[in-house]
Amino acid sequence: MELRQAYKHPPCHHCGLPSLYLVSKKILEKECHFCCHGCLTVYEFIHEMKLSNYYDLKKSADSTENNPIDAETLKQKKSSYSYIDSDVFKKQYAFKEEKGTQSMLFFVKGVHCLACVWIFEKIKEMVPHVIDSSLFLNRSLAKITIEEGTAFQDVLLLINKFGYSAHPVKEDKEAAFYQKKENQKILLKLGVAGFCTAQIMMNSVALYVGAEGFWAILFNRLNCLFILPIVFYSAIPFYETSYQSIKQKSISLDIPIVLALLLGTMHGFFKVFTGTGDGYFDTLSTLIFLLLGSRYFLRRMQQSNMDHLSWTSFLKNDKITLLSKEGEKSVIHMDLLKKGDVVFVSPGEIIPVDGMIKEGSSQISNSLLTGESFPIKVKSGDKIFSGSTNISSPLIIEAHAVKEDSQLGKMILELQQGWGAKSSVVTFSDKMAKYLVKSILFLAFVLFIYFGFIQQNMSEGFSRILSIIIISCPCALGLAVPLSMILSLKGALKKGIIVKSDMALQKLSEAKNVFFDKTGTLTFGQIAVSKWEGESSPEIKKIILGLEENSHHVVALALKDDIGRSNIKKDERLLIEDIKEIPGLGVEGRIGEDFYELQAASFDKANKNFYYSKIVLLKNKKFVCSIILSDKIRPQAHEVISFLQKIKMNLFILSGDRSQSVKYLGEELSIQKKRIFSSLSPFEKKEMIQSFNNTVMIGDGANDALALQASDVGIVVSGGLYAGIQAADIYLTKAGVRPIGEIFIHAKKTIQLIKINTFFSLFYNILGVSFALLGKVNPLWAAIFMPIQALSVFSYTLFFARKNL
Amino acid sequence: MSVVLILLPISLLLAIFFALGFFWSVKNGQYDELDSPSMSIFLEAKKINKFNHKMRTTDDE
Repeated sequence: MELRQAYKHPPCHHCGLPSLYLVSKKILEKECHFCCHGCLTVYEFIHEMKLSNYYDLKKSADSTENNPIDAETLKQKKSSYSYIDSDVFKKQYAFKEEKGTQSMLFFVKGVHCLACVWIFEKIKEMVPHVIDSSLFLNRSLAKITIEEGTAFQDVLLLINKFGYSAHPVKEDKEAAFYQKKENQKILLKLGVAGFCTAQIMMNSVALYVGAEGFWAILFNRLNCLFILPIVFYSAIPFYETSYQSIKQKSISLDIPIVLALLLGTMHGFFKVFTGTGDGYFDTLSTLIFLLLGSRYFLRRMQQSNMDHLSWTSFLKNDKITLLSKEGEKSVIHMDLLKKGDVVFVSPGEIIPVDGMIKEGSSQISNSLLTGESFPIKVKSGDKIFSGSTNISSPLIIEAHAVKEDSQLGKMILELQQGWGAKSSVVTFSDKMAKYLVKSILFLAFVLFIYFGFIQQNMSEGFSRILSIIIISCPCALGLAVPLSMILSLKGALKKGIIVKSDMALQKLSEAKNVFFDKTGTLTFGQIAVSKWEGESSPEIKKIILGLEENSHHVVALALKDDIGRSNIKKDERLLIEDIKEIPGLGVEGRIGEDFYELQAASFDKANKNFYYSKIVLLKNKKFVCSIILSDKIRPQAHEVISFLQKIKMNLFILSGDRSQSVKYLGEELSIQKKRIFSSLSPFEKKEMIQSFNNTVMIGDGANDALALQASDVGIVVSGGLYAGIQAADIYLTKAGVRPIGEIFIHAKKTIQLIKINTFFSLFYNILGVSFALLGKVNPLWAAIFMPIQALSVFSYTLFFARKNL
Repeated sequence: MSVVLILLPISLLLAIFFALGFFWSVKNGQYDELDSPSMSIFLEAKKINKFNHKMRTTDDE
C-alpha cells in the first residue's frame, strides 16, 4: 500500500472514488485499482459470478446523477455562497415567519433517507444563530430559519461539508399557502365524513338487529342528524364539480353521485318522519367517505409528483461568476445578474446571457437550443446566445440581455404563459357516467309512466325510482378510478418515471403519433468515436493520446475518452516533441524521426454524408488510420423504436439539426423518410405537432420545450433542461430511452385496469337496478350490497396493480 | 335498555371530543407533510453540543 496525493489516484474500479490507499491486483489480465480490500473482494466476486454487466449499468446510471463529488468541485462551491447574504438577494428569496427571524428554502440534491433528515434537524444545534432547520424529504426542500441580521452563508457551507449541494429556491408563497389550505380543507371534510359515518353505522347496526318503537325512532332521528354535516359540508366538492360540468354542458361521474346523495337523504327523511321505514343513510355516508378519501390521496400523490418535477432539475448553473472591472471574480446568483455585467463562463457551463464575447475563443454547442450536434467555433467579438454550452475554453462575455430578455428567458416565459393551456380530455369514466345517467333517467321515466298511469300507485312508484337512483350510484367506479391512478402513479415512480397528472396516462393510452427529438434524445448529444478504420493497434492509440494530451477540443475529448477505455497505461506514454495545435485542422507532433499529423479529413464527397466527421492520422504524410466520429445513437433507441412500431405508432423525427445527419439517423432506425423532418426551429416543431391529433412528443431540452407543451403528452428524457421538464407531462429519471417503452405499456395497463373496473361497476349496477325494479331493494339490502361492491373493486385493483403496474 | 340512554350521550361526547382533536391537528398543520415526520420519530433525542461552527469553517479554509 502506498499513500499518494489525492489527485493522482485513479478511481477505484468498484466504487469509483479516488483510491487513497491503493490496492492493485491483476484481474482478467487487467491491472485494476481499488480504494480498499473490501472493494477488491466485491469486484472479484462480481466477476466470478459473471455479473460484470453491473459496472456497465452503474456507469450509465452514474453519468446522469450522483456523480461522486470530488475535492475540486467541493472547493469551488465553498467560496461561492457569498452572494446569499446580500440585501438584494435576501429581499427576493428570504421570508419572515416570526418576528426577528428570517427563513429561506433550499432545494437539496441527493437527500433520500432518515439519515439526511437527522442531519438537517441537527443543524440547528450545531450553528448557534440557526433557530430552526428542517428537511421536507418528499420535496427535497430544506427550510432554514436564522436570527434576523445573521448570515445564511455558514449554514450553507456546513451543509456543503456534509456533501449536499443546496440551491436557494423561490417558492410561490401564495400558491403554496393556497395549496396547503386547500389540502387541509379537504382533509377536514374527509374527517367529518368519517366521524358521521361511524356514528351512522353504529345506529344502523342497532336498527338492523331489530330496534323497535322508541329506540327505532331515536336511532333513525340520530341518523338524520348525522347525515346533515355530510350533505352540507363534506359533499361540497361533489356539488362544485357537478356544477362545473353542468355549466360546460357535459356529464361527469359526480352528477349521479350527487343525485343519489340528495335524493337518498330526502327519501330517508321522508321515511323516518312519516314513520314508514329506515333510510339509506349508512350506505350514502360510507359512499361519500370512501370517495372523498380516495380523491384526497390521489391529490396528495399528484402534488408530490409535481414537486419532484418542479425542483428535480434546476438549470445547472444558478450560480454565475461575475467579473468586475478590476478583473476580480465573484459568484452571484442568476437572479442578480444585470445588463452590462461581464460574466466568466468556464468550459462545461451553460451560457447564461445573450451577449458578446469580450475575451477568449472557444467552441460552443447549440445542441440544447437547436439540436445541432456539432459544435460551433466562436471568438472574441462574436455574438452569443444563452442556452448554448461552452465546451473547450473559458469565455468572458458582456451581457446584452439577461433573464427574461435573453433567448432562453423568452423561451421559458412563453412556456409559463402556456401553462395549463393543455386541453383536458374526456376520461373514459366520464363517458361511462354519461350513459349511466341517461339510462337511469330513461328507467325512471318508464317507471313513472308504469306506476303513474297503469298501476295508479304513485307512492310505490317513487319509492322504486328512488331506490334505482341510489343503487345505481357509480360507487365502484368512483372509487376504482382514483385508486387505480394512485397505484399507477406510484408504480411509475418506482420505475423511475414521474407522471405529472393522471390525464397524461389517459392520453398516452390513446396516442397515435409519436414524435422524437434527435439530439440528446435518440442520440447522446455529444460526439464520440464510432469506428476505427485501418490500423488501431495500442501503439497507434498511444501516439494519438500523446498528440491530443493537452487539447480540449471536442474531437480530442472524444478520442481521449475512447482510448482511455482501452486500458493504456499512463506511464507508458510516448514522448512527443513539437506538439502544435492548428485551429480548425488538427494537431501535429514528432516522435524521434517520424512526423505525425492528426487532422480532420475532407468529407467523403461521393457519399455526401455529413453525418459524421472523419479524422485521419498521417505518419510522414502517409495514411495510417482514420477514425469516424459521430453523435452516437443511444443503445436502447433501436429497441424502443421497434417496440413502438410494433404497437402501430406513427413515428416521426423532428430535429433542428442538419438534414443529412437526421436522414442518416432515420435510416439507421428504419423510420419512414417522409416522416423525418430536419432544420426545424422550435416554433416550427410546435406547429408540426399541432397539425396532428393524439400526439406524443419525446424530447430533452429547450429547443423542443414548446413542442412538448403543444403535444398531448410531452415526455422528457433524463437530463433534460429545466424548461423542457416544466413543459412536460412525464419525466424519465433514468438515463436512456428504454423507459419510454415501459411508460407506454404502463399507460395501456392502467387504462385496461380502469376499463375492467368499469365493467365490474356496470355489472353491479345492472344487478342492483334489476333488483330495484323488482322492488326488492331495502336499506339492509343496500347496506350489504354496496360494501361488497366496493371491497371487490378495491381488492381486484390492488391485485392487478401488484401484478402489472 | 335504559342504560343506553346514559351511554349514548357519553359515547357521543367522546366521539365529538376526538373529532375536535382531529380538527385541531389538521389546522395545526400536522398532516401537511407526512414523509419526514414519520421517519424522525426514530431519531434519538440526544443533543449535540453546540459549538461555534464559524470558527471551524474559517480554520478549514
